[in-house]
Amino acid sequence: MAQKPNQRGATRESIKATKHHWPARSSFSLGKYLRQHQATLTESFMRLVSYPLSSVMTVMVIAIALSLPGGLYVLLKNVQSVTDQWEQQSVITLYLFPGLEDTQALALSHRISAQADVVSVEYISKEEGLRYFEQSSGYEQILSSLPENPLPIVLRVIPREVVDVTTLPNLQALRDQLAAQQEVEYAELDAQWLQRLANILSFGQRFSYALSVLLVVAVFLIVGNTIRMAVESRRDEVLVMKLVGATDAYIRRPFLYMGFWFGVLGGFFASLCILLLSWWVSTPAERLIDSYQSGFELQTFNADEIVLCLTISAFVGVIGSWIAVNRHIANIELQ
Amino acid sequence: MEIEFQRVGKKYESGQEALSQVSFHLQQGEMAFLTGHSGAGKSTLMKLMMMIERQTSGQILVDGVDLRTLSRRAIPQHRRRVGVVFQNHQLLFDRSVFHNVALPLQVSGADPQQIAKRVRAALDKVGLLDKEKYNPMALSGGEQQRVGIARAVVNKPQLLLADEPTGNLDPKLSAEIMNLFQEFNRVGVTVLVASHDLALVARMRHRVLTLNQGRMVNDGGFG
Repeated sequence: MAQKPNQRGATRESIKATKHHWPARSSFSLGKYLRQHQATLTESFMRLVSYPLSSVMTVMVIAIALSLPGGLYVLLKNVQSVTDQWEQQSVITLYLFPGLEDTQALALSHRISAQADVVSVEYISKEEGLRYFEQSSGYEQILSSLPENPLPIVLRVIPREVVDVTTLPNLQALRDQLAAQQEVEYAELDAQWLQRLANILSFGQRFSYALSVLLVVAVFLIVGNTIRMAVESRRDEVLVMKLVGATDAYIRRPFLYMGFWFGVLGGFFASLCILLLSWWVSTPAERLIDSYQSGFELQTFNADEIVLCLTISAFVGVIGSWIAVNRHIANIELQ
Repeated sequence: MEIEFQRVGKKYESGQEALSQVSFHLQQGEMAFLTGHSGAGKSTLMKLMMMIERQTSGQILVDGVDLRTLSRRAIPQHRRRVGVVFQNHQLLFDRSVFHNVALPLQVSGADPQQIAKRVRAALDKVGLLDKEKYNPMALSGGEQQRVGIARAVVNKPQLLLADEPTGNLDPKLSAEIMNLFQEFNRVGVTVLVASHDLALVARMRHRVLTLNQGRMVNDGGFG
């Protein structure tokens, strides 16, 4: 660009103008501040682009580390939705004390069927039980050789509520209430499988939390190490900037943005991995679940969750680089 | 900028005494040379003024302000008022001449238009306006030194420090560089140049401070 001759004079004038007093401390202006940040944001991204191989490797390591807990989360979300939707007629089986008279058992049966939370009660006498048992077990020989019928009277109680995750506590309370009746020796709620599934689910949740924590720590370390090397490779620049009066915050800023980009890009590719993976397994998974329950649709990362993933990874990136930069900028001192 | 050293001493942790009982007063707008053998303490004295090192005894007053009272956080603000030129020019070879010179302005948050204007003015002053897009690596030693000077003055500092600015240059280039410093001094900048080139210093006819083994042995005269 051509220079106008009068600019030389202008410089002198301005040097003269400021020569007798300290320059005013640069006053804070939001516009200036935002402009600087925007410039650093772009610049730090361009710097990543200018070292494509190492940047891509770092981003992919972060993406893989994040997609593991993310994938596990999606898996759990689907299992949860399957169990949430699962409904089955519930049955509470009451085994009465052996010595009980039929009349007492019938009275109990009537009392229970009068309860609001019970639909019906099926009475299975000792004889019916024996006949049923003989048919289904194939132990006729042994049973007929016994001196008396060993089976108790059984009441099959059908509660009003069907079994699912939300009604399980109510049904358990009902079972406990029935078990407390003095005629009842033992009460069984036919929902053990659901309880077991809920247990497995909470185990899976804890497991995925622990895994997430470990992998987020890994991302911290990856970002920290990458930033440490970046600071080291820009040692001369840091020194010159300190020499010409850069504040620590100014020197830190590009590295923080670098960490931010690593985080955001890592989170983005992690989300992409999860979406691809969900799409890949969706057909067989839906076919599998459909055989138990119709209308199942595999859930994947939704928009909220992608935003959350990006936010977390950006945050981890910035904090990770903050720690690394603070430690290493302090080590680089002018000599 | 006015500089006053009062019985300043600097002792390194190794026990080496780089400066002892150094006193002198540099008036606002004055130009002086600092001479002495290598190891006499010239660089240490410059580093104390830049707050790269802190003195272990005595007082350094800058415009009447005791540098010991400045906190670590105030150091950047102090350095923005001082321009420095080093023998190893400390230029960055990953960017153009323009962006090297722009660095002090970027650091202090000047707006881009202002930066462009001031950088070109500074480059014009050292005669390198046509080389703004070059990488400093492509320039000669003398040109690189002038880029360093442009960077030192772009922020319009009130004090210009130069540590052996002509160390690697031939006599003709050295004289040119010294003339540049003289020009800045003429517009009111306080200038202190450390040099062991006694012949050159003598020709410039300015005040000469001489250090010997960390002590001020001569103040005044023309060397």
